[in-house]
Amino acid sequence: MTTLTKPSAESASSGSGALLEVTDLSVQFPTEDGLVHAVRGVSYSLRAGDVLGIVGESGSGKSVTSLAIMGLLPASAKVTGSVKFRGRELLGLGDKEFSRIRGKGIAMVFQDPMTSLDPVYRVGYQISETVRRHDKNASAKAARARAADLLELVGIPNAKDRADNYPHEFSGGMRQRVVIAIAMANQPDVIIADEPTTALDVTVQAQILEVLNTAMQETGAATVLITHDLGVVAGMADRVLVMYAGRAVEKGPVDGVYYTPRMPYTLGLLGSLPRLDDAEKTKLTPIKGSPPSMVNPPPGCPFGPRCPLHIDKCDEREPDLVEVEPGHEAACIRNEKLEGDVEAADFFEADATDLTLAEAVVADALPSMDGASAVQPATTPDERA
Amino acid sequence: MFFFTVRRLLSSIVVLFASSLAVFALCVASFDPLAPYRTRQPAPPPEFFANLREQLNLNEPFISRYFSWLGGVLTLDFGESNGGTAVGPQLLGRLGVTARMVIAAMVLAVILAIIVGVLTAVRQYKPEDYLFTFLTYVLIALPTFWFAALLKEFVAIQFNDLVGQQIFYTIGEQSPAIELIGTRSEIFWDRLGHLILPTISLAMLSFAAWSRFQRAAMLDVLNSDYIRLARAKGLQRRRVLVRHGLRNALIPLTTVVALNVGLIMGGAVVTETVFVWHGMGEYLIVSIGRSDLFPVLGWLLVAAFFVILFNLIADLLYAVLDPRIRLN
Amino acid sequence: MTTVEKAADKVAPPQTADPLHEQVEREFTVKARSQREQVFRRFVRNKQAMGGLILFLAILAICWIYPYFYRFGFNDLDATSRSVGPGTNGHVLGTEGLGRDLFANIMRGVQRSTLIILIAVALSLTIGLLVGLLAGYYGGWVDNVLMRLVDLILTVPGLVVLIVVASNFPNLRSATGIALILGLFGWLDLSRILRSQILGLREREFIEAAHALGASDIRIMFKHLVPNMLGSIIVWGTLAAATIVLAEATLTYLGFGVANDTSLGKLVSDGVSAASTRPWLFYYPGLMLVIIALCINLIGDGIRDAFDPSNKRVRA
Repeated sequence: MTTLTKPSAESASSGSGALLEVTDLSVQFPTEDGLVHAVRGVSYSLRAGDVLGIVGESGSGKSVTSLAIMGLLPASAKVTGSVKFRGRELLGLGDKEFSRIRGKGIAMVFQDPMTSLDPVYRVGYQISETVRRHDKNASAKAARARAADLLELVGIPNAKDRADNYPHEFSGGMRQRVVIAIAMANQPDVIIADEPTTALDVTVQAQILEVLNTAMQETGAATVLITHDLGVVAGMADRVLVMYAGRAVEKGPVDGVYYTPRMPYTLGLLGSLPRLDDAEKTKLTPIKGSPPSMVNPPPGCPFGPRCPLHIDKCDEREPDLVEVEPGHEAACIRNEKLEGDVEAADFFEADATDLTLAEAVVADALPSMDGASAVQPATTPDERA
Repeated sequence: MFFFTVRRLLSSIVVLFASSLAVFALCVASFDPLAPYRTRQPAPPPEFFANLREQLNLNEPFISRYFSWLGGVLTLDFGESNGGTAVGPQLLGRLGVTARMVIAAMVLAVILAIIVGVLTAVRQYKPEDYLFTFLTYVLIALPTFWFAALLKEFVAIQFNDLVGQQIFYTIGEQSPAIELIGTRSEIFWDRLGHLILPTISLAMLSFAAWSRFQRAAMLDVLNSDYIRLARAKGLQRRRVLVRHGLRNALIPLTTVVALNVGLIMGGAVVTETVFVWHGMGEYLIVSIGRSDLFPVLGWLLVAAFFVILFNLIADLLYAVLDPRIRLN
Repeated sequence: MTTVEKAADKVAPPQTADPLHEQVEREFTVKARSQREQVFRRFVRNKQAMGGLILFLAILAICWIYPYFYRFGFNDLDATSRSVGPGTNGHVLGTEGLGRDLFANIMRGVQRSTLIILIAVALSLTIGLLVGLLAGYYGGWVDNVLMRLVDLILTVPGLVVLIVVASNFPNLRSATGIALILGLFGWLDLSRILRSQILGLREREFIEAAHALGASDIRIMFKHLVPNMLGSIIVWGTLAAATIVLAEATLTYLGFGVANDTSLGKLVSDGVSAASTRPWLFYYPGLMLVIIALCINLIGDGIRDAFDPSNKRVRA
C-alpha cells in the first residue's frame, strides 16, 4: 500500500468522552430585511462510531449548523454557543488552528458535486493536496499513490489512470465519490455529510450512500448525515435530530422517533411520505403552509400556525425539549397526545391542494363543494383553553 | 490541444483576410487621392486628372485594385504615400516607437489590475475596497487626453522642479538626435524618461476597468463551492486564495485584456498626440488629414493584424488555463 | 414591529382579532414584492448610485434654467473681460479669449452633450436591438453572418473607424452629426450581449408556449424577449452614454469631432492648449466632463447591482 503513517486510532478508545459536543449553537445573518436567526440554540453530542441524522425542510438551518461547526460561514455571520471537538472549543479559533482540524479531525462532504471540485486541477491532485497538507512528511509520490488508492476505495474504475483526469470528465455520481474520497483521505474522526445525495439522480443516490458507508467503515469516523430525505436517515443513522425553524424539535434513536414520534411536525413529515407497503390506497397528508420567516420569529412555538394540535398556550413561549422516553426528547407541550400508535392521518388532513395559510382560512370558512359542512378543526372546543 | 490550435490559427487567418477586404473598402470609399489636387489654384485641366487616374490605377475595378494591393502586402510592399515615400518602412519604424508605450502600458495595467482587483475582493467592504473603488470610478470617467495633459502640464513640471532635474520628459519619445550622440545607456535612460508619463496615462484607463472586472471575477470565484471545499480540506486561507481562487479568477481576465487591444491602440493614438510622439498615432492622423490612402490602409491592416493576433493568443491561453475548453 | 405590521396588512386580509388570523400574519412577516419593486428598492438603497443620480439631475436642471438667474449667455462677447480668471466681473468661472463666459459655455456644452448622448444612444439601441434580436432569435446562418460582421468591425480600433468616417463628412461637424456617427458604431457590444441572452431565453418554456399558441415572431420578440432583457439594455444604455461623452471629447480633441458648435468635448479640448496659461479653461470643463461621466457610471452600476445583487449573496 502506501508508506504514509496512519494516525493512531485514538478515536475508538477515547472512551465515554464525546468527540463532538455542540451546545446551544446559534447563528445570525444580517440581510436586506433584517437579522435572520438561522440557527437558534441547537445542541447535540457525537461519540465515536455514532451516526446522527439531521432532518429538516429547506431553511430549517441544518446546513448552517454544520458550516458553523466547520468555521466556514462568512465573516458577517454571528455565531454563539459552543462547539467542542475532543474537548477543545472551536468557535473563535483562528484560521491557522482551525484549518488544522478541518479535513483531518472533522471532514465534510458537500451537496453539489458538479461545483464542489476545482475545475482546473486534476482529481488526483485535489486529493493529494489534502493529504500533504495534514502530513508534512508525505512525498508527492506517496500522496499520489494514496489518492489512487482512495479513488479505488470509493469505487472509481481504473483509479490510477482516472486520477489524472479533470473533474469535468466525470459524471455527477463519480464526482461525489471523489468528494467522499477527499473527506476520508486523512482518516477523520468526524465526517459531516451535508445533503450528499440531494443533487443526484435517484439511482445514483443509493450507490453514493453505499460509498459513504464504506468511508465510515474505513475511517471509523462518527458521522453527521444531513438530509431532508427521511428514508436515507432510516437506512443509515442510529439517532436522528429533527430541525424546524432553526431549532431541534425532536431528538432520539431512529426507531423511537420514526415509530413513535412525539412532536406533531415529525408526525406530519412521516405522514407526507408515500409508502409502498400500504395495504390500501391512502391519501398523503401534507403539512399546510410554509416554514416561518426567521427575520422576526413569533414568540410561541414556530410550528404553531401549521400544527393540528395547536392551542392558545402554544403561542406563549417556545417549548423546550423534554424527555418523553429514555434518550428521546420532543419540544411540544402536548406531546402526550401522540403517545401510542398514532397515524399522521389522525391529525393532518388529506388535502392535495397547495393552499397558503391565508387561503386555507378562507377555504375553511366557505361551505364545501359537495354540500357537507366545513371541515372540523382538529382541536375540540373544550381544549381551546 | 494541437488540433484546437491549428483550427484557431486557420480561422484567424481567414478573419485577417476578410478584415483586409473590409479595411480596403472603407478606405477606398473614404479617400479620394485626387482631392489635394482639386483645390489647387489655378485648377488643373481635366486631362491632368484623367492622367492621374490612369497613373494611380483608379480606373481599375475595385476587386483588381484590392488584389494588387493585397499582392503587394504579401510581399511586404505597402505602397507609397501621396508624397512618394514608401509606407512599409515608415510603418515599421513607427511601430517600434509605439510598441514601447503600448507594451509597457499593458504590462503595468495588468499587474496593477490584478493586485488591486484581488485586494478589493478579499477586503470587500473594508476601507481599502471603498478607496480603490472610488479611485477606479474616477479613472474610468477621465478622458485619456485630459489626464495626459494634466500629467504633462502639471505633474511633470512640478516634479522636475521639486527634484531639481529633468526626470520626466513631456515632448517626444526621445530627445532629438540622441541616437547619434548618446551611448546605449544614455539612449536607454533618455527613452525611459520620455516613456513614463505616456505609459501612465495610457495604462490608467485600462487598469481601472480591468481591476473592477478582476474584482468581480474574484468575488465570483471566492463565493463558489470549490473554494469552500478547499477550505474544508484544511487548506489555509492564503493557499486557497492563490492556488484555487486566483488561479480560477485570472482566466476571464485573459479574454478581457485581449479584447481591449483595440481600445488601447486608440488610446495610444491619443496619448501620442498629447505627448507629441513620432509614432503610429502621428502617422495616422497626418495621413488622414492628407487623404493619403496607402498609409491609412497599411496602418489599419497592421492594427487589425495585432487585434486578431491578440485574440488568438487569448483563445489559446484560455484553453491552456481552463481544461474544460480543450475538449471542444 | 412596524415593518411587520405594515407588511402583514398588505398580505392577509385585515380581519378581526381572530387568533388564527394573527398566526397567519406572523407567518408572512416578509413582504412579497414584485420584481420591479425589488429592483427599485435596491437601487434607492445604493448610496453611490443615488448620489450620482441626484447630482446628474441637478446638473441637468441647472444647464437648462441657468439663463434665468445668470446674466451672461454662452455667446455673449464681453469685450471688457477677455481671458479673465474666475470671479472677475461677475464671471463665475472666468472667460475665454473672446470674452465668452466659461460657466455659460459649460452649461451650454452640457446641453449639447446630453443631446448627443440621447441621439447616439437611441440610434445604437435601435440598431443593436435589431441585430441582436435577429441573430439570437433566428440563429443559424443569420446569426453567423451578423456576428462575423460584428467581429470584423471590431478588428479595427473603434476610435480609428470613427476618425476615418468623420473625416469623410466634414459637413457633419455639428453636435447632431457627431451623434449620428457615434450612434452608427456604438451598437456592437449591445448586439453581442442581447444575442447571447436571447440564446438562453429562447430555450425557455414560455417561448415555446408562445410559439405553440401561434404568436408571430415579432410578437414574441417584442412582447416576451425584450421585457426580459430590459435590465441588460438599461445597464448598457447608461454605460454607453458615458462612453459616448468621452468618445466625443476625444474625437474633438483629435480634430475630427464637433467644430461648428459647442460641446463639452470641444470646451475640454480647447482648454488643453490653454492649460498652462489660463488653467481655468482647462480645469473646469474637464472637471465637469469627469463629473458627468462619473455620475452616469455610478447610476449604471447601481442599476446593474439592483437587477443582480449576486456579489452580496449570503450563504445560508
